[in-house]
Amino acid sequence: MLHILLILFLITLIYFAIANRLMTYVGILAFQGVIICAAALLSLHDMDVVNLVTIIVETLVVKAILMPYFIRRVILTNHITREAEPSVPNYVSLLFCTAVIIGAYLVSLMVSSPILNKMFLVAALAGIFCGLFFITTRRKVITHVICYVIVENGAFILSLAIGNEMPVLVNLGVILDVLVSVFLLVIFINKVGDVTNEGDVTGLNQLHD
Amino acid sequence: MLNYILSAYIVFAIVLGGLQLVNRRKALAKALVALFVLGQWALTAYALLGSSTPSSEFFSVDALAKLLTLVVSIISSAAFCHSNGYIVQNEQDKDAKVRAQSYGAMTILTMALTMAGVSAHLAVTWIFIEITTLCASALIFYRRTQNSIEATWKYVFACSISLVLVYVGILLASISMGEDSASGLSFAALGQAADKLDDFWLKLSFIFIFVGYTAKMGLVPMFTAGIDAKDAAPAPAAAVLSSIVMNAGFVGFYRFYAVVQHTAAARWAMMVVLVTGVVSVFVAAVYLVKVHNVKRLFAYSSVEHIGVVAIGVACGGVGLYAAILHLVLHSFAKSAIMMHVGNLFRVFGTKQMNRMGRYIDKTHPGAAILILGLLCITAMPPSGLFITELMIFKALISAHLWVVLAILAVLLCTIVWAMSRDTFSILFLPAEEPLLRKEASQPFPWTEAAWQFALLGLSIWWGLWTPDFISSLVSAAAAI
Repeated sequence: MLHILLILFLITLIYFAIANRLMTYVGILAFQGVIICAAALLSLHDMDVVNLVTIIVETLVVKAILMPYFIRRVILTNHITREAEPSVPNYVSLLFCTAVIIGAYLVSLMVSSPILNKMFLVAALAGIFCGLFFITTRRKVITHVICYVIVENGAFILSLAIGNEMPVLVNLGVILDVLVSVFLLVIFINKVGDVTNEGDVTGLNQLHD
Repeated sequence: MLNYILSAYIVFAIVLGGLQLVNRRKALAKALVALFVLGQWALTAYALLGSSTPSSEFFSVDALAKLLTLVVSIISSAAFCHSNGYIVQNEQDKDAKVRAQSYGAMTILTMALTMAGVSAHLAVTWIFIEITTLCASALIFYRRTQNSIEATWKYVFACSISLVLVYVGILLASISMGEDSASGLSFAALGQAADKLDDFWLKLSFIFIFVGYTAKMGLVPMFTAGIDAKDAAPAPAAAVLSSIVMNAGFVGFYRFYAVVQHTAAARWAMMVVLVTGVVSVFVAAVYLVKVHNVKRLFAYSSVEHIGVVAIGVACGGVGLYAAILHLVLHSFAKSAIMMHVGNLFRVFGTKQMNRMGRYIDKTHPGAAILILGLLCITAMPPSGLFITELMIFKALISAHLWVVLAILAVLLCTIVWAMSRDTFSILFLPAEEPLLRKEASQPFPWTEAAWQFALLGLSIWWGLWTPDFISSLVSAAAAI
C-alpha cells in the first residue's frame, strides 16, 4: 500500500510536467498533500499518538487544504493568466522528470542502509529534483511557490523514511512547512498587493547588474 | 545551567522584540534597544569570561562560539546606533510602524545570530538560521518599494529552498549514522561516531548542507539572492547582512565540515570547498569589473572574501586559522563600508556610481572612511586582511596548490584594480552624468563616523597586532 502511494506521488510529478493550467497545478498540490498524509499514517507506526496526530493534521490541513486554497485565492484575486507558460516545451519537462525518476531508482539500487526503505528515497529525490527543475523552468512567481511546495513534499517523504528512529526530525519538517508556508503566502503575497497596488506579482524583475 | 541562561536570553530577546513591534513611541523604542544591547553584552561577557567550556546536548560555548558572539555583539551594537540615526534622518517619509518592525526584526535577528553561533546540534543550528531568514526579510522590506519587495521575495525564496536543502542534508546525515542515529545529531555525537558514518550518505549529506548554507554565506552557487538583498536593504541592515549573517551561514557549514574532517570523506570535502571557493572568487571578479551600483560593488566583494575564506578552510592548518581570522576582520571592514554607503546615498541620492563624483569635496571624514575602507577591503596594507590573505597564500604554497595560488593571485589583482578604479572615481573625479536631484548638504553625523572608524580600526588592529585572547580563540576554533 505504501509503495502504491509513493508511486502515485511519482505519477503526480509526471502529470505536473505536462500540465498546462495553473489550477491543475493547485489540484496536484492538494492531491500530493493527501498522499503524504496517508503515507505518514502508514509508515509512522512506532510514533506516539499525540505526535502522530499533529503530523497528520499538519499534512492534511496545511498541505492538502490551506496551501492550495491560498494559492488558488492569490491566482483569482491577482487575475494571473491561467496558462502556466513554462519556458521549455512540455515534452522536455516530461523527459527530464522521467530521467530523474530513473536516476533516483538507479541510485537507490546502489546504496544500502539498515534504516531506510529505498522506495522513500526514490520518491524523495525525484520530488526534490523535479521541483527544483520546475522552479527554474516556470516564469510566474506563483508557480515558483507551487514548485517550492513540491520540493518540500519531497523532503517530507524522506523524513518519513527515518521517522520511526528520529521522530524529532519529522517535527522539524513540520515546523519548516508551517513557518515557510505562512510566511510565503499569507504575509508576503498580501504585501505584494499592498505595495504594487494592482497586485501583480509577475513584475518582480527590476533588480539586476 | 547553560541551557537556563540561553533560554532566558531567548525569552528576553523575544519579549523585547515583541514590545518593539507593538510600540509606537520613539523614546520607548530607544530604551528597549538600549536594554537589549545591555543584555547582549551581558551574555557576551558570560560567554567570554567563563573559564571552562560550558556545554549541553544542544548548546556549547566553545572558542568559535565565543569569537562569533563577540563579533555579533560589536556589529549589532553599531548597527543599532546607526539605525537610530538612519531612521531619524528619514523620518519624514517613515511611519512609526515601519520603525517598530525594523527594530523588532533587528532585535530577534541579533538573538538568532548569537544562538546559531552557540548551537552544538545540527538541527538547532538550522532552526536559528531559519529564524534569521524571517527577520532579515523584514529588514530588507524596510523601504516598501517595488525593488525592496522584489529583493525580499528573492531572498526569502532562495533562503527557503536552501533551508529545505539543509533539512534534507540533516536527514541524510542521520541515515549515515545508521543504527547510532538514536544518540542524536549533536556535533559531539556525530564526531564520536565519525569513523562509523556511512561514506556515501555522508558525502550526499555534506553536499546538501554545504549548498544550502551557501545562500547565507554568499558563496557560489546560491549567492545571488544575498546580492539583491544587500542592494535593497537600508544601510544598517545591509551591514548586518554582509557580515554577521554570512558568519552564521559559515558556522553552520564549518561545524559539519569539522565532523567530516574525521571521516574517510575528509579529502573529498576539502576539494569540494576548495573548488567552490575558487569559483566564487572568479564570479566575484567577473561581476566586480562590470558593476555600476556602489552597493552591489561591495556586495560582490563579500562573495570574493567568503571565497577566500573557503580556500583557507580547504587548505587546513595555518590556512584554517587565517580563514577564521579573515572572516572576523572582513565582518568589521565590510559592515563599516556598508554603513558608509548610507552616507553616499544621502549625499548623491543615488547608488549609480557614474552619477557620483568628487566625494572628497563633500565631506573629509567621509572620504577618509571610504579610502580607509577601500584599503581594508582590498587587503592592502595596513589592512588586517592583508595579513590573513598572506597566510592563506602561505598555506596554499605549503599544500603545493600552485595552480590555485596562480589563479587566486590573478583574480585578486583584477578585483583590487576594479574596486580601486570605481572607488577612486567616486572620490576624486567629477561625475560622468548629472545628478537627478540637487546634492544634499546634510552633514555627516559624527556618531556614524565614530562607529565606522572604530570598526575599520578593529579590522586593522586585530589583523596587525592580534590580541592574545583573540588569537588563542581563533587557534582553538581552527583546531578541528
